[in-house]
Amino acid sequence: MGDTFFEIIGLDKSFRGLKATNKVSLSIKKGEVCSIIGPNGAGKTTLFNLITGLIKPDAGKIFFQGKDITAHSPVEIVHTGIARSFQIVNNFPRFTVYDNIMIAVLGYKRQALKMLTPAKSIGRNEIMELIDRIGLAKEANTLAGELSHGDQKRLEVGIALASNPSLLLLDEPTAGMSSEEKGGILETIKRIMKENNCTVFLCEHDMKVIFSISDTIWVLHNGTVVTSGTVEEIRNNALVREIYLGEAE
Amino acid sequence: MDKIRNLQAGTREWTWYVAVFVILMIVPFFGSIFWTNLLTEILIMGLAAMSVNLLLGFGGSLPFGHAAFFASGAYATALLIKETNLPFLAVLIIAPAMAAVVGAVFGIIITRLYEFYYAIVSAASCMVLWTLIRKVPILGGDTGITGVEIPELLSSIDAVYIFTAIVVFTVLICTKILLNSPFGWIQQAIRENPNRVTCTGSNVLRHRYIAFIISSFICGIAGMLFVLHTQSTFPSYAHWIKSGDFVMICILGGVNTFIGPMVGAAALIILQTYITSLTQHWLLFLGISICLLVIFMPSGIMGLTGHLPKKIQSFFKKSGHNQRG
Repeated sequence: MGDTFFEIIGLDKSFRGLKATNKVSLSIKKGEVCSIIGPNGAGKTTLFNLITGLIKPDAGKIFFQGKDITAHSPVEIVHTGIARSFQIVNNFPRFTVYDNIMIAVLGYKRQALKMLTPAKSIGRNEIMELIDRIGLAKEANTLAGELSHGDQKRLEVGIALASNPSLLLLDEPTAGMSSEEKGGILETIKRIMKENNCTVFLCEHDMKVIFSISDTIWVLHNGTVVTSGTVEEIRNNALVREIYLGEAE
Repeated sequence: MDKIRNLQAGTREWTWYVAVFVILMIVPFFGSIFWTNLLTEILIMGLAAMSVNLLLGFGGSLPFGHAAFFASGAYATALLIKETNLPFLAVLIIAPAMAAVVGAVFGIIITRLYEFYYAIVSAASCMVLWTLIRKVPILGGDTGITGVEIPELLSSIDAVYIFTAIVVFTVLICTKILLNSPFGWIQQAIRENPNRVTCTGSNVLRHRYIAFIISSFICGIAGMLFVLHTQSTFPSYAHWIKSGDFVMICILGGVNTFIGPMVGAAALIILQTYITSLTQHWLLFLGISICLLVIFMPSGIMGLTGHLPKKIQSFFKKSGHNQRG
């Protein structure tokens, strides 16, 4: 396992008898964009919650850079280098964009218990640079709750990036966006990957998005990994067409 | 949408504090004993309410048991002075520390909870302490501890008042610094969205616990000051109704502002004093006036400072565009 960047082995989780994930195993190579697709209820978000420690698996193991992180708390997992964005916008709506990013930077730098220095003096340049990179420089002083949906999604990615992750989990980063906005955020994600040298693991509904950005695709159906492969392989896979693309068209 | 007010105090705000402090300092020389006493009480209750607001307005929890820490500070002060030969200065530090210790014990359970559970368990733990205080002989039972001797220097009403004002302002400044620090910001972020705070790598549980201890320490200081003021302490200090008073003061003054609890304390105590002098049924009128205040000023008295000028502005200047706070 030592050479795999990220690996999940036999992850099980059920809610009141309903299997949300059923012996899910997958692996991600460093530097790639790995996507997970599947119809609603396939267990994508559950998988993300399991990886980030928000819920604990019934069985199975999660390895990150050779370390077993299955039992780690969500906070420890952030500090090992895994950060995530949420499907539903999940920020601090009454804080400005700057303050939203600042909270994440304070967490990443383990400054949460500092009581004497003013928070605003910490990491100023770094925060402004990050806001610029997610394309919200003009909105730095706008309340997060007043941003457009697309911009809130950008902020969502920004908050995750503030933890300087080596593995970035994006839960439907383009959900609810117009196609223009989608193009914009995809460019941002690609650029960030290069600049931050991070690996991206995303789940998405939009097949165009998936096919345009992914290196590897995993297909999840009813909590089980059905198949995996490159964009071409998945595009031509009859089973995938049947269970997923067939439904969509 | 309400903007979170920037807590970074500008020079204008500091000018206000200095002005208020100077005015408070000269009250004993011009005002009557009545006002000196009233102001002492306002400052102490305001401080206690501020400790509550640290968790309520700035932390998004509903602490309904802070009377426990007020009483802990008060009883520790009374006991240490009566039963030990500790220097007075040491008492002033140990007494609030005792409140913090009680807070550290209660907090283990309370800070794991949210919302109603948080409120109910904190109120319940407060009642546990209230019962204990009444049963333990050394704490004076139902009659409490009276005749606490304080040093000569602080024996006059004016001296206690000035000492109280200095302590309260010092704690106020420290709290302000705390709220502007990373600790304070994370505390507010937890109020907004605790799960997101966890996912950005800050330990929410630990944070809430430490904030709870700090808050009980400050409440302990208020309890201690109250013993210097009244030279006695009673079990009713630990009753949950007292906790309710603190919460009510916060809501009255405005939970989203730093200085709200102080303003709320002034409003409540002055209202109380005047209504009691007018009628026997003062509780009824107090209740009604508080209901009205809360209905018509949901963000408290301090909420008016932001809204009133704006309302007046928009009344005269119907330009129609929304200003962003």
